[in-house]
Amino acid sequence: MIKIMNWFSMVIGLIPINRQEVDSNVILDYAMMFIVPIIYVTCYLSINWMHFIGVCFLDSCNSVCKLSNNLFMHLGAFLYLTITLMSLYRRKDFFLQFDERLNAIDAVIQKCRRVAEMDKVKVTAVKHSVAYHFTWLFLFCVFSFALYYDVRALYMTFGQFAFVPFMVSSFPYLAGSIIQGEFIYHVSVISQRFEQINALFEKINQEARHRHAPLTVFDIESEGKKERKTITPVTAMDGRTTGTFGNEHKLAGEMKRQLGQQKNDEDDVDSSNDEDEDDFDYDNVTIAENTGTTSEANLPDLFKLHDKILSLSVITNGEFGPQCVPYMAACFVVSIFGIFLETKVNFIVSGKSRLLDYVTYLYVIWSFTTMVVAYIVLRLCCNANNHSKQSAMIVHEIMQKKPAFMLSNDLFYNKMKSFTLQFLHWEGYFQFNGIGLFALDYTFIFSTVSAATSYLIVLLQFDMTAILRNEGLIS
Amino acid sequence: MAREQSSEAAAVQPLLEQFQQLFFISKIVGILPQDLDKFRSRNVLEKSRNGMIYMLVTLVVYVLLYNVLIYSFGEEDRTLKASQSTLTFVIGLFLTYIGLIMMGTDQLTALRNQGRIGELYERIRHVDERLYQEKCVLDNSTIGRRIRIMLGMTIIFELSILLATYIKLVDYTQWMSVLWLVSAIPTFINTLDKIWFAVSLYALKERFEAINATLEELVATHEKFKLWLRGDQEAAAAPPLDSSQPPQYDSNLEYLYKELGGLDMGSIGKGSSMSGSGKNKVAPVAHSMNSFGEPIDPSDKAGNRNPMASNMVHESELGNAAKVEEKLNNLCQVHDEICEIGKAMNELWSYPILSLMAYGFLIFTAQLYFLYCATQFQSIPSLFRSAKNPLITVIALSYTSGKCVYLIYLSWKTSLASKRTGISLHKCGVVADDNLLYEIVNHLSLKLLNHSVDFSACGFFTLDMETLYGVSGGITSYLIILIQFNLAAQQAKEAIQTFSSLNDTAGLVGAATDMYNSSSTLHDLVTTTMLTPTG
Amino acid sequence: MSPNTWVIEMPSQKSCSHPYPRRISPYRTPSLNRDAFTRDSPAAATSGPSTRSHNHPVFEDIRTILSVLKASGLMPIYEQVSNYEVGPPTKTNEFYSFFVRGVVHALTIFNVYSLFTPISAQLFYSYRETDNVNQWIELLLCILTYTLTVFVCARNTKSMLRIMNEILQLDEEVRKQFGANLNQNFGFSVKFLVGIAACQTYIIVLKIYAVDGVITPPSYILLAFYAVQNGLTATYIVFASALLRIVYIRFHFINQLLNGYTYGQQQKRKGGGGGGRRHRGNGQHHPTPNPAIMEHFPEDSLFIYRMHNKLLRIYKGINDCCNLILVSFLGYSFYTVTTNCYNLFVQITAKGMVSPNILQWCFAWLCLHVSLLALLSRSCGLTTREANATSQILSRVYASSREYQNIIDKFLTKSIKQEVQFTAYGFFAIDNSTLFKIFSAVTTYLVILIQFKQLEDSKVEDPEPDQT
Repeated sequence: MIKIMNWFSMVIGLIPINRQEVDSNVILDYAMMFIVPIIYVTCYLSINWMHFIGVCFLDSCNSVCKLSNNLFMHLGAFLYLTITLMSLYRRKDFFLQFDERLNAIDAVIQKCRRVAEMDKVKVTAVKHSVAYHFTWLFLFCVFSFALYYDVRALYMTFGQFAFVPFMVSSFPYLAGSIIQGEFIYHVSVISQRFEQINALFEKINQEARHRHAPLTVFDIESEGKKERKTITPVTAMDGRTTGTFGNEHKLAGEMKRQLGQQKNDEDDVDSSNDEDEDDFDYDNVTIAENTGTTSEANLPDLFKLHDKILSLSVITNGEFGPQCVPYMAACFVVSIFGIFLETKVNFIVSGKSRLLDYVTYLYVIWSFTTMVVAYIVLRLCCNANNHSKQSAMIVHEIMQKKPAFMLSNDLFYNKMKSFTLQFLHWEGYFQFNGIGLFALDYTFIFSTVSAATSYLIVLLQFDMTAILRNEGLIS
Repeated sequence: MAREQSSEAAAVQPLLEQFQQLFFISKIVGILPQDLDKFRSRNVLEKSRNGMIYMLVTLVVYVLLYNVLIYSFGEEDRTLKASQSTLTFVIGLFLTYIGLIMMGTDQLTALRNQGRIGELYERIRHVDERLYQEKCVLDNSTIGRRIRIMLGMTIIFELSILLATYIKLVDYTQWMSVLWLVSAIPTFINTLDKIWFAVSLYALKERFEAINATLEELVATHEKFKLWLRGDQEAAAAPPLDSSQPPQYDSNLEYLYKELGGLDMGSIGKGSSMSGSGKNKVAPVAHSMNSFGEPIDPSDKAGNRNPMASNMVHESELGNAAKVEEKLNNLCQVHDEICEIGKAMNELWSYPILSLMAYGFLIFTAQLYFLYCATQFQSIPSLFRSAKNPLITVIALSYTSGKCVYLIYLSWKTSLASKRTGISLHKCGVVADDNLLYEIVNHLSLKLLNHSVDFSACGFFTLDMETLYGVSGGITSYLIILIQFNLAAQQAKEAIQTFSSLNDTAGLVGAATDMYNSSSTLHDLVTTTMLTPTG
Repeated sequence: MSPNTWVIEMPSQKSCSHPYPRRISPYRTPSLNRDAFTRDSPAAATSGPSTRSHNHPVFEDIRTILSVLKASGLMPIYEQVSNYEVGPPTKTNEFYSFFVRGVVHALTIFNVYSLFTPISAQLFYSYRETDNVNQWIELLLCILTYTLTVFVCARNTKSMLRIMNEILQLDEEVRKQFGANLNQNFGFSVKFLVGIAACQTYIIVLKIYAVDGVITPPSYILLAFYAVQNGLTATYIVFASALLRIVYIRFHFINQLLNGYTYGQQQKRKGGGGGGRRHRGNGQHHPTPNPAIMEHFPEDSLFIYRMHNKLLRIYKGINDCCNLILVSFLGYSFYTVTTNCYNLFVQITAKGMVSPNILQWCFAWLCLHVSLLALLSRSCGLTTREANATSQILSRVYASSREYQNIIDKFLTKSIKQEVQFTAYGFFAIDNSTLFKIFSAVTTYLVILIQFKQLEDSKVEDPEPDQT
């Protein structure tokens, strides 16, 4: 599904072709990104200046129809132009950077999994639930229905030239939705990584739970054991692919993993040395007791990972957040006018004028579609936020499970405290948002709904009967 | 290299150096009372009695001119008033004076603050010095460019609005129409004043970012250091690279070593910039002269010779907890100081910002509403004649909203940058993974959590993007309310007219009601103008 | 410990920009520049360093307002046990308060009765139907607010006394520790009292002049009681502000104390009081804090933490005591301000007949309520800011040794996410932004009301030609 979406967005020129290759033909890459907007602008201008073939310039289009069609068209132009400009401004750099960072993160996650011996637990190949597929199917149906309706209606009106009005009516909203789809995809990738980290944290947490037994036995060999444990799983390479990486990326990941493995060994040595100096008794003991599951050694890496994923989401949000703003605004306006037209016009005079019905239904359909997309965006952003928050919760839990004498001056304690503090900073600093105007979570729904009601109350008081009577729609 | 050095030299030179043109212009226009000669010679803002008198004179002149303008153009209003509702009129009157109020606030605040602004920049300079000691090099030249761009934009906007309105909408056969030029004065003065604020804010943001960059660099250095430890490349590569360094550094090598002994920067590029700063220190910049270099003993120097030369980072600062503690402490203190400066700055400009925001909100709403009125062929106050042309309206709106939004955006960004510091600080802790460092980092992070720099307008509302969201919602709802009532009023009027046209005695009664209307509005005009102080 | 070396800057309320350096000794020698501000300074000066046994009344600063409240039964007439303690009221005094409250309730019932019967109809003579309704609602709201105030005060007698005791205890500790006498000029409260009284009498006089015909005794009672109610509610608000101001002064004191330990001050000290922030010359190594000062830090900080906690508790206690009153007062005030603004506007734009009486009436109301709102929000905002400033100032203390850092950490960790706020029954926080919100709401309502009025007017003009 995601591939289809990517392919589609390449075709309509929203993201560059070959976006994941560093050096490829520039002209080829950006050809579509320039051609499609130019086509759109010509269509838009030809309709508006030459009064070529727009819905609003037909004789059978009455004043209400004209007004709403104009609004729809200009709003679409605003949406499409801002989004396209931002996409052009973004170019390929973002995708490259995103992939690069993602690969780095994945490499570290792999390494941590190996340390935590999570590989045995089969968590690979992200299992999508029924809801996931259903959502995609639903979205696909909604979009195809919307497009089908528009194209059919336009074809019946204009015949051969239906393409031109289609470009100015439905196309901008389609493009906007697809860009939001890209945003959804990226956020979901991020959220997935958060989940993986949380699984790792949870593992540590469980281990900490087992450690509650009073510990008195000292074991000096534990250190050696530990090292053995960490090195052994090198062979356990797995084919965990997220579906987006090419072969060469896997290779690169492999390389990084090798490097990371070395680094990790060294870290282990470092940290164990530290522990020896600081409080060698405790850790060695626990390791001995726990048959050597030392996923706690992951902690610094996990903290770093969490940090990295968060900065990745900052970048993603920086790229897609600005595109969210016009989309949400368009969604808001279209929805309000959709409800308005439906209740004040369509209920009274439906079936009298085909064009009026067409415009009304166009509003309703697109308001529904955009609302669904906006909801999914909000939901995913909220999810990602929650996942990142959950990590902090788990770390707190781990912290509380430590025996009391650990709380004084311990490395692990300080580590975790540092992490939670950092998370506090992150909380103040970042949240998925549309350039700071609003936070992308469920509170946004509440605020828009409350704003919409107040506007609707004002709008619904508007007396349309006189206008409709003038148009001869009601007697 | 020379350019780089010049920018280096600018780092410890006062920020105000970049403000030359801006100061000159604002001095002439009468925004700042400070002494021009002292600014030219020493880059300081000092109180000056003459400047104060000059400023007061300009203020009085502007107010007089503006009132003459309102009076002379008010003539047209009186004839147009018949059909206008009282609310529109009162709002219009209030709107005409808000520009003047805004300008007055700006100038009076500048008068009140004339001593403190200089202090503020002095504090910024101290921060620069401290940052400089911590190897944060700031490039102020972008600020100069920024000022010039903003000045250019202001002049373009003002001129385009003024000329377009003058040519298209003012009857320029009368000599009184020249007075229309006065209408641009308040906004122009206000914009100049806001440029001061915006640029200073931007400078603060840059300083925050410099702190963040330093911390990030520490992390990067340490990562390289770890890589190096693992890769154990020996010092074999050292000598050729050493010789590859540009020869002109030799004279300053002493400094270089000393600095690298204290703080090690990563790449060779940094090394060269360091040497630049070393040179800079030789130059007679008074404050950073003796602050550096004493506590480093020679053995340290010898120990560091190797690492510095071999182009890789061989020693990471984060390895040495004591030293790094000092550095982090200092950075935190600087961060706090910048936060304090931000607060002080916000306080200095709090009333002007409040008046600007009120102005922006009112003008934006009014302009759109009058645009609507103009499209419906209703009369609008003469001072808002620019609303008759959609294009001029668009320009004026983008100018006004640009001012407000830019300030809000900048404050938002600044406070984000200040929050970012905590995150960067923690990265240091995580990358080093050392108990002592964790303790330090945790301690400082708690401190940073309590450094807050929130920009607000007199505490009434904070300047961040969420406020913008709220304000845009407010503007739309006001517009909808106004337009709706306008529509209703029109409909009611039409109903009356149709009714009276049906009636036999329609003409007579219509004239009577018109008379009644006009007399009452005339009365309104008298009362309102009596109530509002003229001059 | 040698407190003689401590210089604590206590900027006075009026001139925050010029802090007077004040030397505080345990013997409480009053400094010269405080004489102008403290009311009890002559007494303190005569009492001298050694004779501290003089019986100076507690809450001397707000004595006037307290006596008004005591007389009206809103505050218990407490007994002064010692310099730093107040006891519960004696039986007779308690009975007096009880009696006063009973009278108040009886009058309230009478007023409500007369409001719902045509007895008071002559008071609502005004020229339009809606205005009468407005005034009627206003009266009812006022009665409601005052009744609520009386009830809440009666219920909270004990907690009020406890709060006072806590404040006094705190003062005692401060005096023992630092020899500082935390008194402040509360002239504003007296000014406000006078202002309220003047305003109310003015309004009543206006009202009486406005009514035509002979005024019946019930109307007189109604009016008089209305004025008393308004005045007392306003007085209570002023009292709450004064209490907040007291808390603010305490917060400010500990903040100033703590400020002495911040790095800026330490550096200044080290630089020999060079004035200004001179960071020159100590950039390389962190300035070793002045041992004479820094070694007192643990002791002082513990005291400060304790004091801060206590103050927070007091702050919360005050909030609990009067948040219900505040909510109703804010609602009442909002309503009054809106209606009066509207009336004012109507008067100004009315066709021809501007009645100076109503103008003055509106202005008096507006002045009273706006100034009260401003006072309340300002003192709440100040106190909240000062309470939150403690952790900010503490974050500026840079200690070299680990234990000190741990001390700092402890407080800072505690105060993460601990936003101190003065809320109106949890509905919203009261500070400067509240004022802003109220005024923006008032504007919105005004615009809508005025628009409606214009529509009405134009519709009223409609049938006129019909008849002619």
